[in-house]
Amino acid sequence: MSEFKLTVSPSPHVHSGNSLTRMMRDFIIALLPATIYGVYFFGMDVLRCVLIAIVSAVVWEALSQWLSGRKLEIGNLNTVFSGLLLALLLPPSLPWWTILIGTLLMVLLGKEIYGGYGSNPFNCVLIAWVALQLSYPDYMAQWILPMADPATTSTPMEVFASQGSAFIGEYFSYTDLFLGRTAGFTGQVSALMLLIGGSYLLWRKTINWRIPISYLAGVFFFAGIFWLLGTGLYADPVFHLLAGGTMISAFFLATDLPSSPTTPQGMILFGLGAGILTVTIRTWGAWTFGAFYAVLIFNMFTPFLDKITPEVYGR
Amino acid sequence: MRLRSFSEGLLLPRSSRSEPQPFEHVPAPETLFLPLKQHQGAGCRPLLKKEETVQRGQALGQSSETTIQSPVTGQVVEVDKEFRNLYGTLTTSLTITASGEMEQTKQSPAESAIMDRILHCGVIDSGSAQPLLRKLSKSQECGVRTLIINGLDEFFIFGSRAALLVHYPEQTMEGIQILQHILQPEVTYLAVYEQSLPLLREHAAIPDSVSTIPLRAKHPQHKEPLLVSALTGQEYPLESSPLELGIASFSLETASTLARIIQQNQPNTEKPLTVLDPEPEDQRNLIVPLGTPIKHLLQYLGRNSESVAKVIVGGPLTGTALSSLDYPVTKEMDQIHFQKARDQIRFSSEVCIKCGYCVEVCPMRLMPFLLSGYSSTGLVDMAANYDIFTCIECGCCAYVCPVNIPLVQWIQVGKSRLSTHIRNEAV
Repeated sequence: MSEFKLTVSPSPHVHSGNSLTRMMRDFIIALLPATIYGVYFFGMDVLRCVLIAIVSAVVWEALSQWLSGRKLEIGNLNTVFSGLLLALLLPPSLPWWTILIGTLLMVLLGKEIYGGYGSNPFNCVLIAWVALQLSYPDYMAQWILPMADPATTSTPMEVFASQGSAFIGEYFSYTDLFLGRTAGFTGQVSALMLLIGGSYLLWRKTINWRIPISYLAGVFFFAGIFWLLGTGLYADPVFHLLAGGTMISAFFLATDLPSSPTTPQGMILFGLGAGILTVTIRTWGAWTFGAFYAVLIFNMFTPFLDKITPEVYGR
Repeated sequence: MRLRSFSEGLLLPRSSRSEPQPFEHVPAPETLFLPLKQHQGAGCRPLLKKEETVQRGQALGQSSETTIQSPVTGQVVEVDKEFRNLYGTLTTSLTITASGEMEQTKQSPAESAIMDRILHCGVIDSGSAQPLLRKLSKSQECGVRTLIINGLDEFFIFGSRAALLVHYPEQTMEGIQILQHILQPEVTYLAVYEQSLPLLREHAAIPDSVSTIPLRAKHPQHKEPLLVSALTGQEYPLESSPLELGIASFSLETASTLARIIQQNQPNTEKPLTVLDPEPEDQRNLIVPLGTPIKHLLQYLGRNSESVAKVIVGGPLTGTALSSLDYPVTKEMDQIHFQKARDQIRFSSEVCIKCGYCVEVCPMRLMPFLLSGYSSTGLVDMAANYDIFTCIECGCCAYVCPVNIPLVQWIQVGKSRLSTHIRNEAV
């Protein structure tokens, strides 16, 4: 017998090298254009928001994992990404303690309580966002628009909800919406920056194309049908794509790994359904944040959609 | 022309070469180890005792389906009844020291009946590791309309099968014709990776009765279910066999071996292998006498055995890791990969993040993360509902998993628990 030892382990013996850390790093990189643009447009308040959110989220997670005696997992950057994403959904002027509450809820109620990232049925960022939205509706609606008269500091979606589609054009041009010259949270103002980030994720194959593309298609075609039926009453599909956080929903919220379906068919149905629900909530609901509620509601359909499995070979 | 393939799986790494390496003949070592079970099914009965002399080509052991022949002339120095083979089963193994002479047993010309020759040379269909005799008689019983010759190597675009085609084209074609003669199929397909097609046109005279089909270089295209579906468009439940569709597939190496033992009257005692040389990380095609210890192979390559941390028999995605460098080359092996310590991967016990990557690559269109999850939590009935037995353990899922879950291992655990369960129910 040989004196030295050979490793014996099950197959496979090679790996793609992909890791959760690599994926989370990609997500963070993909959010950087929008974040940097947000700081440029809204000022240092955005940076403050981002830093508080990331640091507090990491601290909460480390504390919770230490208290529950689990392995410390902050190294995989997952919480850094969640913190950053949450910060981009908040009004830049939000008080610091509100952000702390938000990240605490995100970490605790969003994922730790279920056993950590991977086991959470809902998108943890949206859990935190909904909690803040319901608890502090006033703070959560304080928008600022630099270099503008304070009377117009409504988000495009709010203008649509309160005054109807006819007025949208008077306040915002598509160029404003596309490049990001409107009031709102950082993650909604620039469709362009989010598209750049989203394309990066698709190019790196970090996210599957099925969810974002079918989500955008759902929004576009469902809004398009009603726009064609009753011109003037309904907002046009391009507005729906560019405003109200559609882009951040498509590429960063709906694609959240644990809370979205895993099968090809499930992903398409999830995207289409959430897209249609987004337009539905915006058009006939009281809320302007249809994009977020739609994704959160469709998280509940995920276990069901995962039952639509591909047809097994030879069956 | 659109290449036939399947939509899942993994693309093979590109080859730096434009054609397969020619074979190098590895000389026989002084001491050889010959386990008497190098195939699926019952092991062979030893025919020789300790200290008896043996001639090259003489039968060392025989069963009703196959034979193990001696690769060298020499002496039996040990009969080890507790040799543990690749899959952990105990079998008898003969240790032989070569005398250096090349005297060969006379092959009687009366032994011309092809099936007898296949039995006495112990031909194994490489890939499935089934004794060829059994596979052929089953195929004859069922009647074969479509004969598939599998010229695809696992993991390498230009492995030993491609090398046989390019460097021994006549022998290979003769072998295919022998198979055609035995089975009388209506159509014969020769499956190769698209990269080999121009080389084939250049080197080989392919008979009209054989249609060469180029396939995309993907893993696990070489596995029978995917080969059958790519070539014929038909799928079959894995608990049955493609024979029920009138389809039989044989490895290209089997064809080449047939030609060697029948046309050239040689014993079946060498094995073409693709070996991943550890030091420059380069691939080499070798012809190795059966029974050669892996240690000797490393010496032949001029490599230090200390630098090797893992020896994988079979492809890197599906192979078995050996526990000892003394293990010999057997008929079941197609490839040997030597891995250095820094290239070894580690699996983890992290939680599945439900990214769906495994679902996307699974060529059998299963839900690997569910199969593994149910197997690891003991819910094997659920795993059975999700067709766990359709898994061919190709390793694609574990290869792409971002949290390094040992999916294949858990699925193996699930399958074995279920089998025990089913057996107990039956009793």
